[in-house]
Order: sequence, then C-alpha cells, then structure tokens
Amino acid sequence: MKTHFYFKRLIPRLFLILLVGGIALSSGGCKSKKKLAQEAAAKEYADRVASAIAELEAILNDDGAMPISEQERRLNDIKSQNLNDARVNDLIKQVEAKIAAQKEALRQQQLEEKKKKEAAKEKTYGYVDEYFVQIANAKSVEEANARIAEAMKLFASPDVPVLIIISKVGSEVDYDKPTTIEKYLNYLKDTKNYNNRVQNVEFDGYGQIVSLELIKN
Amino acid sequence: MKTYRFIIIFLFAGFAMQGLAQDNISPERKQAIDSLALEKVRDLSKYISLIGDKDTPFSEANRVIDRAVELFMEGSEVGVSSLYREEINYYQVREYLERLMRLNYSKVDIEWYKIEYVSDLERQPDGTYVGVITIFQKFSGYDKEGGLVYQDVTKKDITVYVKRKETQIAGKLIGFWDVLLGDIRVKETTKQ
Repeated sequence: MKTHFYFKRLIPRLFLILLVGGIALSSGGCKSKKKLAQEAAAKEYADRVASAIAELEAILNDDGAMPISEQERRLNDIKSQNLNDARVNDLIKQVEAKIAAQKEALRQQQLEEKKKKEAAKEKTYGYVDEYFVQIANAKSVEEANARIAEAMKLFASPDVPVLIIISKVGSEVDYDKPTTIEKYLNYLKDTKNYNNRVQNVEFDGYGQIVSLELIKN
Repeated sequence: MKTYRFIIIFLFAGFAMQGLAQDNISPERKQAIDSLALEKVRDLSKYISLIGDKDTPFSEANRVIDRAVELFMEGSEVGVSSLYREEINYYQVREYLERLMRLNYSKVDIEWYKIEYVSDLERQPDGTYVGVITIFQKFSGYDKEGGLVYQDVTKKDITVYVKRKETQIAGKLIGFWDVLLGDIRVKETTKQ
C-alpha cells in the first residue's frame, strides 16, 4: 500500500523531469543546428572568396593568353557576387586597371595600324598630290593652265567629285562643301594654296579617277 | 486623351534632344569649322585681288567672279567707301565685283590683312552658326606712269553663316559644312 502510494507520487515528478529534460535537450539541438548552418554559410563564403581571389589573381598573372572579353566576363561575374571582402575588392581594382590599360594599348595599336595603312595609301597617290602642288606653285596663269590640262587626263571627267575632309574625330567625319575636279584645280591656280593631301582615290575600269577624297593638313 | 498628350510630349522631347545633340560639337570639330570659315574669307581676298588686277585676262577675271559669287548668300551686299565722300555705297556682290574689274586705274593692288574673328561662330536656334570676321583692306590705284593716284585702308566686317548639310555622292551620304558669306559692311576708312 505504501509502495503504491510512493509510485503514485513519483510518476508525475518523473514525467515533469522528463518533460523539462526533453525541452532542454531539444533547444540545445536547435542551437547546434543554427550553429551548423552558420558554419556552413561561413565556409561557403570563405570558399567563394578564395575562389574569387584565385580567379582574380589568375587574371592578374595572365601573360596575354586570356582575351580581354574573357577577363571582363570573369571580373563582372565576381563583382556581381558582392563579396565585400577587402582583399577581393583590392584585386578587383587591380584587374580593372589592368583591363583598362590593355584596352588603351589595343586602341593605340589599332590607331597605329590604321595610320600606317593610310600613310601607305597616301604614298601610292603621291603623284596626284604632286600635280596639285605644281598647279598651286605655278609661276604664271599659262603654266598653271598647262598643269591643269595634264592633271585633267587623270580624271574620268571634269565633274569628278572632290571631297575635302576638314575634321575627323572618331567616327565623325566633317567635309567642306563638295566640289568638282575642274573647279578644284582652278581653285588651286587662283588661291595658290594647296594645304590638303590625298586621302582616298577611286578608279574606273580604265584606270581613271572617278572620286577623290582629300584631307586638310 | 492622356495617350495623345504623352505622344506630343515624347515627340517634343525628341526634337529638343536632337537639337541638343547637334549643338554638342567637340572643340576639335568647332575649331575645324572656324578655320574653314576663315579660309573662305582668305579665298575671297585672293579672288578680289585677282579681279582687281589689270593683268588678269578678262575671261579669267569673269571665271573668278563666278567663283567669288558662289561664296556668298544670295542677296548679299558689299559696302564701298572713299576718302573723298562721307556716304557708303552698297552693291550686290556680282555688281561690286564687276565694278572692281572695270576700275579706272592702270594698276590696282588690293590686299587683305588682319583677317580674324570679331564675333565667334555661335549656334542659332535653326542650327546655323553665325559669326563676324573683320578684315583690313589696303587699296592702291596707280596711273599709266605707275604713280600712286589713290590709296586707303578700310576696315570691313563680314558676316559668316555656317550650316551642316547632307548630300549624296556616288550613293554615299556626305555630311558637310556649308560656309556662306553675308554682307560686307564698311566700319571705317582711313588714309593709312
């Protein structure tokens, strides 16, 4: 009877202890899950930072094998991750500077090549320039007219268009009012002023000039 | 109604932006246009000198008059002054040049110098750039014996109009700057 009474009092207490213990244990488990998740996130961030650093350093150490477009693509990919890491930010700045320098070097190289091509072209048309210089420097009207008559033989007709570039800034090309070769040759005779050079010449099937483009010196 | 209002505002903004874009000329391009306008005035000075020169053959002088007239806007006038009279006479460009060719001297020397802007080219609402270039003209007339009969120095202002135009040449669209000279006004005439 006494034992029965003892158990009757013990069971609720035991239940209470188990309940409290259970709650305590379960909350402890939650805490560790959060911690685990935090640790996993931190690891993932660290991995991403490490990967970004490796990639940025690879771009910086590249000796020219990687095209600029690829460097830019990788850089933009890293920037879009917003890693907010001091080392990564520093490397991003370095890579940006490297890409900018490479672009400028490429632009300069293209400009040089274009200039070389144009110079070679102008050299080819030097004989046309020579006629113009002779007309502008003629000592008399008769001499100038004789040179004009010779020069006209190079052209398909007296109405061949002459375009004079007054300014070339990037892709923007500005011309003086178009004229004809006959008027232009007489202009040289009248003003005694040839301050242009031949930029481009187009020929017909007979080798005569059908279009002339000059540029201001 | 709201849609119409939106379309009207959109079109208006489009035109305004176009105007702004055209106005946005780089300093290099502006300099090239300035130089082009100055060059046209220098060309005119050479044409005037040739037309006035008694050694220039008649046919050549007439051809040069045609070229000189092409430099001007239609209806432009040129002022003529003299040390012997107060008033300034204005003539249509062709008439002025033809009178210059027929001047009653045995030899005529006309020299233009100090050719420079007094008013820079400024963009007008219609897109035309307008400026004023000043020149000094030294005129000398001689008799048969080569003696100097008349000489004066005249300061003149030339209005210059520059407008961007486009034309098709051999199927290619060319954007060019059309420089036209306006009136030539006499500012002052002195002996030297």
